[in-house]
Amino acid sequence: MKLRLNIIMVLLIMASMLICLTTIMMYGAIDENNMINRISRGYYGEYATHFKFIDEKDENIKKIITLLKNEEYKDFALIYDGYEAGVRQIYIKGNYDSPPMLRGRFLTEDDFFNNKDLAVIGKDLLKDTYIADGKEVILIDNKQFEIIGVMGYSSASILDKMKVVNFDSLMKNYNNNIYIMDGYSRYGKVGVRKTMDKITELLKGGNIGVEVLDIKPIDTNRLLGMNINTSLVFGLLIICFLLCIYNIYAAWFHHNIRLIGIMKLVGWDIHRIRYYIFIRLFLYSIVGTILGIILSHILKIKIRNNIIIFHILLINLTFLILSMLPTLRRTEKVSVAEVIK
Amino acid sequence: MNYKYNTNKLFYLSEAKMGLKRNIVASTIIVFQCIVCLVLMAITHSDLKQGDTKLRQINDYYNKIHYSLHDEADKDGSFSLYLNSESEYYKLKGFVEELRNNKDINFVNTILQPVTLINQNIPDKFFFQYEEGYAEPADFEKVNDLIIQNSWVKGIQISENVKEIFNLEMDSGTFFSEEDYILDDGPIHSAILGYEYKDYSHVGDKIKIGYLFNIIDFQVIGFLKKDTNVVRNNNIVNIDRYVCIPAFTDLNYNLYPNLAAPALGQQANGQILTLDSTIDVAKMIEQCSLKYGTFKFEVYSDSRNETKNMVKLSDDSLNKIRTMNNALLIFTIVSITMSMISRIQKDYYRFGVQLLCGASIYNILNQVAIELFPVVNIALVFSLIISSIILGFGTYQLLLILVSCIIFCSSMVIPSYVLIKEGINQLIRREE
Repeated sequence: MKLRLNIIMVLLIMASMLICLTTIMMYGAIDENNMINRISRGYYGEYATHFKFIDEKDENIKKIITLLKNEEYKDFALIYDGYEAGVRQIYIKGNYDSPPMLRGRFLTEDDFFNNKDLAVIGKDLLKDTYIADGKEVILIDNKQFEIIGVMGYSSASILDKMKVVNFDSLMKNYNNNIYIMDGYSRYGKVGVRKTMDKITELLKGGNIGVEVLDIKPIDTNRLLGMNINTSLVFGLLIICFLLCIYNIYAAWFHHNIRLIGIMKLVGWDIHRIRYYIFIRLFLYSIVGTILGIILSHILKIKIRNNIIIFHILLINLTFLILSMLPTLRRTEKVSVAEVIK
Repeated sequence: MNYKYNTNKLFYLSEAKMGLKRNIVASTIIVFQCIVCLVLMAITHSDLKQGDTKLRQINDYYNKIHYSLHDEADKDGSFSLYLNSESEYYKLKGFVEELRNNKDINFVNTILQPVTLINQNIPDKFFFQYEEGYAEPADFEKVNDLIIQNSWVKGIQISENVKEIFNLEMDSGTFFSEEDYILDDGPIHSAILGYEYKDYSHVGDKIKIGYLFNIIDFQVIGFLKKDTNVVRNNNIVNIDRYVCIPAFTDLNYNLYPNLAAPALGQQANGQILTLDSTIDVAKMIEQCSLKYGTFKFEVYSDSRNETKNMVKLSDDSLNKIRTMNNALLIFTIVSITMSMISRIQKDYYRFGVQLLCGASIYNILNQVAIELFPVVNIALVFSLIISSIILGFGTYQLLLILVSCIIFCSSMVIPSYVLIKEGINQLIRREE
């Protein structure tokens, strides 16, 4: 296959590159902004449910964890914060959002009910750690916890002084009666809300007197009075993205309309012509997309998770193909007489 | 063909009109993209402006050196003497007034003192210690055959300078006036409620508030804006669920003997903010305390790392939204550029004919630009209307005009290059 570079092709590659770059910039910015908001909120989601036990008893939390453990619901975390001590007790079932880690890993479902005392600590607490039995440990409430990860964000944050431990190892009541049920953010706002509603119903029906509280912690959005809906922005951008690609392909199509007419004239069937167009557009777009990814690395556009780059690549390619469909359909309408006259 | 290229403006317009008709789908797409870009820009700009202003205000606050005062009256037992002695009260009053009148410092009061709301049916979220999970339900008492409902709610007493220091803004009604800081035998006093009270009260409502065990009649004079925050002891306190009453500077001791002393005692433990690092605040307080013969105070310099971290994160958040804006602009320019190139490709032969009829490349360039101009302008008009509905009128509209100019000019750069370099001249086999 012979690929000739002309100005339209160069522009097509450049446009694909810029689209990929801007998508990475945009996605990165939205993702970082969400992360900043989450951290500023105390590292839990926007729809986390705060509740309290109506009768404050030590065994309540054990009952509730047993109840949740035996239920089918998953992809959530039960959190109890000892604010002054900087200790967070957490129970995770299924998937849950890991905070930004500097090393090691965050707690997972397998770390619970295994008679393990595990902790993930903030970077500022590293000075309090020591080695015991060949393991890096930290003393929390006169108990040694093995450190499995160190968390921290690029800016100083609440995470830096936080100690997160598995709930079953500590089970301690601090000076508050507030528990937080948080969902896995990957399911989106609706998904998280649904899970939270189900679990809240479960708690209410579990003969443990709980009262759901109307608490919305201050985050950066509330502090700055920001009302922007990043999901809406991203949705509109996806539409713009489709239109942009469509325009690029339309430009290519008009540049090559005579060629397509001649192909028809010499007897190429419509599928062959479509395949010819598809391969060319796809290859140039792929080249542009890959160049965009390389450029984003050169420009040091920060993406927290490299898997996101892969997702962006997939989304870009899907939209490239979708936007190609009208162009491919137009090949049928090309009039040979019209283009060669 | 009996055709001569005319450089008359009207001719350009009719050609552009024809071009628009021929490319109605592409033009609609450009209009849509421009509208999305401009409206999002307007919204993000408005958010950024508000965020920047708030951040600047918070930074202004943090640029000052902070101290908090803590009296030692409990340690030496002088507090019980103070509560029962009018002369001790006036000594402390002299001390507090001197701090208030000191021009080198800001003496600020943000006293988080819960108050009792009487006979107000409000949800638990307003109750004291609700956020700690320890809110006490309202209690009922029978007074002269009447059932009285007492709700222990979150309250804050604020000094006059708090409005300026924390840039408090009103959602409705007015802020406290100078007279509101006087508590005398006047029939009614002023209270401001946090934003979330808006569903349960109105400006002008009369409420009875139990403040330090005294029942006082208040009138609601306004509601604070949503998400109003003050910083106290290194904590950001959101006061949307608070009842705000003035930190009375002039309290009639004879009328309220049981209230005047504890209220002043709370006010004395205020915060000091100053820009002047040369002031020895601890020494100043010690001298002032000796001068009036009142309590001794410990002066703590506030370390504000936690709250500063929040400010830094907020700054990062604003930068991310700026990046989003830039990406959005690039995105739109790329898309329109490609659309214009597509149009040039489509009209390749028509331009060739026009060249034959005496047009120059620059005439054609003008024609292409005139085709894009109304498209961008239609989008601009729609964006201005949509954003005015969402955000009202403002300076951001000038920004939209500027951005649409940038979109128009930038989107014409590459198509112009294509038009000049692609060689329409060669099509008609002559040099331009």
